[in-house]
Amino acid sequence: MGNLGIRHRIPVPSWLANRPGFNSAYKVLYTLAANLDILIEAAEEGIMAAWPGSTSRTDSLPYIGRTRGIIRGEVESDSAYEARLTKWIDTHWNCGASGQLALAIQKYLGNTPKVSIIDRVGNWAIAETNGSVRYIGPGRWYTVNPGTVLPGGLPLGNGVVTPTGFSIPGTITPDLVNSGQRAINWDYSSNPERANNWANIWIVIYPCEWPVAGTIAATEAPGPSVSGGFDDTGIGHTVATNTGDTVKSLVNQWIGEHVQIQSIVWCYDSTLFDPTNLLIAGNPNGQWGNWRGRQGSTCRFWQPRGD
Amino acid sequence: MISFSTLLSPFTTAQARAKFDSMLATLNVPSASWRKGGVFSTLLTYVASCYATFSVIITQAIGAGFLETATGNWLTMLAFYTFGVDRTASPFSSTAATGQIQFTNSGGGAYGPFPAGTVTMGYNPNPSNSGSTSQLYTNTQAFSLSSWSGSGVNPTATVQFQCVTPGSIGNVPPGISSGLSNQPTWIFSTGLPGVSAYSAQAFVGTDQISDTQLKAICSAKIDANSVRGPKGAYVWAATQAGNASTGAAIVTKAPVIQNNSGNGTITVTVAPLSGALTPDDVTGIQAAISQFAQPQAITVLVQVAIPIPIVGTITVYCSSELGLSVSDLTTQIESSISALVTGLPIGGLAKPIAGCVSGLWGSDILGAITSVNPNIFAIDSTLNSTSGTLSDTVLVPAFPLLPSQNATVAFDASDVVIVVRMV
Repeated sequence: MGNLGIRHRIPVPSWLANRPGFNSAYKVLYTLAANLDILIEAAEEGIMAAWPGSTSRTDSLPYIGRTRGIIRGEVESDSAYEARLTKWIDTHWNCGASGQLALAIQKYLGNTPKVSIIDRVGNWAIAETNGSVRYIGPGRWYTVNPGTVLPGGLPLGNGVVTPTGFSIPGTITPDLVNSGQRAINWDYSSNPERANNWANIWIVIYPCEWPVAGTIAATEAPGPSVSGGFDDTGIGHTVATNTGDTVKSLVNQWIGEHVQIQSIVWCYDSTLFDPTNLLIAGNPNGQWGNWRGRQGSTCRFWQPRGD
Repeated sequence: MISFSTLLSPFTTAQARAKFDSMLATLNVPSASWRKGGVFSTLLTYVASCYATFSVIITQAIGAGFLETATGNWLTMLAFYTFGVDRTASPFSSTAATGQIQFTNSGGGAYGPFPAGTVTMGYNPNPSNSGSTSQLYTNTQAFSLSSWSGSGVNPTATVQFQCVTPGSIGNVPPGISSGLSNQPTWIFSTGLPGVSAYSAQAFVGTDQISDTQLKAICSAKIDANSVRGPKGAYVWAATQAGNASTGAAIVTKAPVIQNNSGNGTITVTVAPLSGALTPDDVTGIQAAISQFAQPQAITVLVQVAIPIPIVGTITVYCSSELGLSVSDLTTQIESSISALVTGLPIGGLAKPIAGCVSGLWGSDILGAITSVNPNIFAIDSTLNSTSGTLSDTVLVPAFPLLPSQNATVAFDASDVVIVVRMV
């Protein structure tokens, strides 16, 4: 496209032509034509401004993003954002999928972390740092051997279910192969009654881009300080309030409404939440349902209010 | 490259003329000093005017590429051609107010048969302006009225009527009779001597959705393509609901969804923009959610938000202005508060602070009232057990009940006494 320029091809009779010394009228026509050229140029540029990546223009990207429901990453490049904006229909088509939620968080955070989403059933959706997503599931933390007694009638594969209690004998082994089991180690001990809340999820992010601040278990949402006033950063680690709000809005946008978030886990230990090595110390141990079970952890937690 | 903000800013005629003058000055043509009213100056100004008009059209067209900047008919086209939301069709278009009028024949004559569209009634809502008619309504059903014998029961006919003008402008409150003075009344435009009219139920019409509402629906529509039950799908589903019996469109606020512990059951709370939802409405909403939003294996319960009425007194202090009447100002304030409450989400609004109560904020009411007239300089209120000057506090808590999001703030002008004091 491109305007050839009306001002360069003004159809005038000879007496109005651009003759030195006799061209005042021509100058007026030239001025009017030049301004028409500006309008035409504006129209062309304006229409193309709505098409991400169609020109070198970047100042319309925020408007396109809001139109297409795609939030720009903290340090996302123009080209990367434009590429995501062009795929907006495909992206929204998957709204509510765990993998899409993981990607939405990953694309936003400036350090492009690995984002894992694990549900209570044991399904994993992992957005790797290279942007790929892999699924493990229904994987699990532990498999309980048949005969293990579980609380509250927890239906565990071949296990014998009785309401008389639960013990962890040496029969528990890590298992990522067999299906039909449940990931019981999140909070089977602190909240066994939640065993059937299959749409509970934990969002695990590693590494975290904000330094740890304080030793508090940090189950509070970012924003207010402990004293009741306002802080610019959240407690537990130095996340800026506006960043925290953005992450929360991303989560609200991209989850299915039937899904309930137990907590967003900001991990500072590379060895944790590795689905191939789940038995190491520090991983969930059945008592992570309440914040007290997480004390001493190398993670920080954002937990919905009222949970 | 022209900056995007410039692309969205049209020129005025004066700006265009100044631009011409500036450019001509660089070409040694002193157009700025041409005699005003002269042939050349007038022509140049006229062209500037055309240029300015053209620039308005172009900037609007450019703005139509984005939800945030599109307005009016441009937004209507963006919504339809990009998001598949038709503002000109039900339920987003305006609908005429409809309702039933019962005629009672106390005279001797027989009337009719009247085909549909042949009987016209007027409604005068203004007690102080007896005899005037604000809107006209015509019958949408054929009917006849037999004569009265002079004794016994008076013959009656109950007939469906519809306002000639679409929109809420044709709304009529319940319990309106004909032949009354100094209060709202029906007026016969078609002569029926000896006949009286009475409407027991309200006439209700709806306006075309606003730009703001349309933008929100377009945003929700994006996610309605997903089968995984995101929030937008439920919002879109609510807009597509129809009454289970009549199929009539149901206009609601955006629903609020509560997750029941992640066990596969969610509760969707709905509330009407005005009036009340019937059981058939709720059934219709449930069906629409099932069609447009509900994933497999998910149980959806639909409940109606409990209305929390605004009750009390608002005293508005306003400096006198020529031609400004207390009654007009009162009506405008009621309308402004009504619009505010209509736009308030179910459950109200809360700051993202631990312990912050959600509801209708006093500062919002303050803004709604002061926006009516710049001469308003002070407001006192005793709304919902609060008192004093409106400020940055939750005036009408919408969450006094559990579950918390099962309530919505409601406004009925009869519940709030608005006192206007002219100074």
